[in-house]
Amino acid sequence: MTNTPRTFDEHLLLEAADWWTRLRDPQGTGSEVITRLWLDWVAQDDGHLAAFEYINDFGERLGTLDATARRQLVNEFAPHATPSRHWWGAAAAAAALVLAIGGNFLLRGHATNDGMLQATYATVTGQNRDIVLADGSKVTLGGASRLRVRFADGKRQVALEAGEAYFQVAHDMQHPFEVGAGGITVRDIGTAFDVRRTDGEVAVAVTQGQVRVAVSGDTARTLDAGAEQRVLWNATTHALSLGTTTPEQAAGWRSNHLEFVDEPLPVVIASVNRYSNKPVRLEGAELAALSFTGTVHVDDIDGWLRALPQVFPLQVDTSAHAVTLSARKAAVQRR
Amino acid sequence: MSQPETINSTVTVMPSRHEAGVAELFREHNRALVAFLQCRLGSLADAQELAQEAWLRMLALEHPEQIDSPRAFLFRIAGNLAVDRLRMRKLREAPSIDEVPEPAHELHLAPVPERHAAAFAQWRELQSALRELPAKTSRAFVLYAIEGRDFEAIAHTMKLSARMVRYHVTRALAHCRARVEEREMP
Repeated sequence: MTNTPRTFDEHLLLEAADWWTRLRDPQGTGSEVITRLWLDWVAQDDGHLAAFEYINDFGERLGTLDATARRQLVNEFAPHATPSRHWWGAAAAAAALVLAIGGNFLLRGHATNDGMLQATYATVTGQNRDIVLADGSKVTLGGASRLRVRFADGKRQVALEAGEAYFQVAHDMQHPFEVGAGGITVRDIGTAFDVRRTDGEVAVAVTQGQVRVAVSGDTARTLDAGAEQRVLWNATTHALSLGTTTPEQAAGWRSNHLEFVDEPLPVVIASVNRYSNKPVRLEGAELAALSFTGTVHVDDIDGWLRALPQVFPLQVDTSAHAVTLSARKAAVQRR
Repeated sequence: MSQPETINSTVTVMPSRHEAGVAELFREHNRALVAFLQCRLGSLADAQELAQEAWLRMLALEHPEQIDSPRAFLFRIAGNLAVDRLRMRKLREAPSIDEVPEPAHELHLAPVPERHAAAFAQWRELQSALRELPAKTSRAFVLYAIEGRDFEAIAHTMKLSARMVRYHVTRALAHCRARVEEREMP
């Protein structure tokens, strides 16, 4: 198979490369659609799959380059921005080691000689993980969530790129701890709080201490929240609002039950989907307008789904690979 | 997917019929299935192994009549197997690039010992192919294919959209593929 003496025209190669990067994109949503479209493309022409395999073969060879070769390519084409000298110092190297050993789900850790520390953590659907960061702060990462950590230039910055995380921040006035999430930044002052991202909103629920939530790119817009308060950011309307919360609501998910108080059904479903083995889909705008109060046990999502029609005017259709919730048909119109 | 497909009016499906169906699916899609898995896993050997596993699972289905699109179902099984395999790999991964000490500066020009000449030549080709590309394109590609970052993370570093990052990676991939090949052939 290797070195097949074949050439492909530039356009076809580009198409095959395009599918290659598409199929590998782990942003799960719609991946089944992509697979289907790819299969259609493959079926279109015999040459398509051959070109794809040709790219595939190259992709595999890239993966077998040894560490020194990889390092040199990175140095030449993607050198890290040189971080300035700072306080974190030699501790960073040791900390990186601890992360690499202790965090077996660490995707990537990186510590430079001058102490910049970077790491990315991710979980799969249905899995929570506890992480201890280099500064001693503790994080529980919810299902299907991703957290990027960057300690540099005297700042402790983490970005919640997807899902939900509960933070217990080690107190250190000198080095602020910041969580970025979908349009806002949460700055703590020695605290425990939960950050949850769903499609159109970010919820910051404080269980201890105090946080300041700032709108990214608009430092004038901030909102402070203390224990049992919750800040809600609506990414569509760009509204920040303050409400109340309970410890259960903020972090019940850490003990496998998701607590909701008057939350939009789409937000509830997005959270449930981080624990469900089958994706749950909402169909129709009328369902999106509903709000839900109650508890979902992550080990009995099916039971919860079965019970939903008792609470809402909807029907549940379960297929081999998805659960669809749709508005109940007005079947009893004439009675 | 929700449009009505061929409806099984029989209550039970004869196992032999299901097996025949799987056999046909195999003939039609096995090559694509292996390619799909190789793309996800970056390893043909692993891809072949997981394809095997996916077929076994298809055969072992208890209620094949409930599946409206066997092809979609097959690729879904395969996708899940790939995710599991990638996760397992993370657990017992060889030292990542970040744990390899930064080489001293002179090392950049020195020949790298203990490497097959062919692999070294290939690496040289890759390097010169990358030099022909715009800086952004080669950077995105190296971060993705060599450093192993995902599109979103690179988007964040490079201050681009994830879509643009994927575009750059795609272009670089096609270009390098063509170049390395070209020089490989005497």
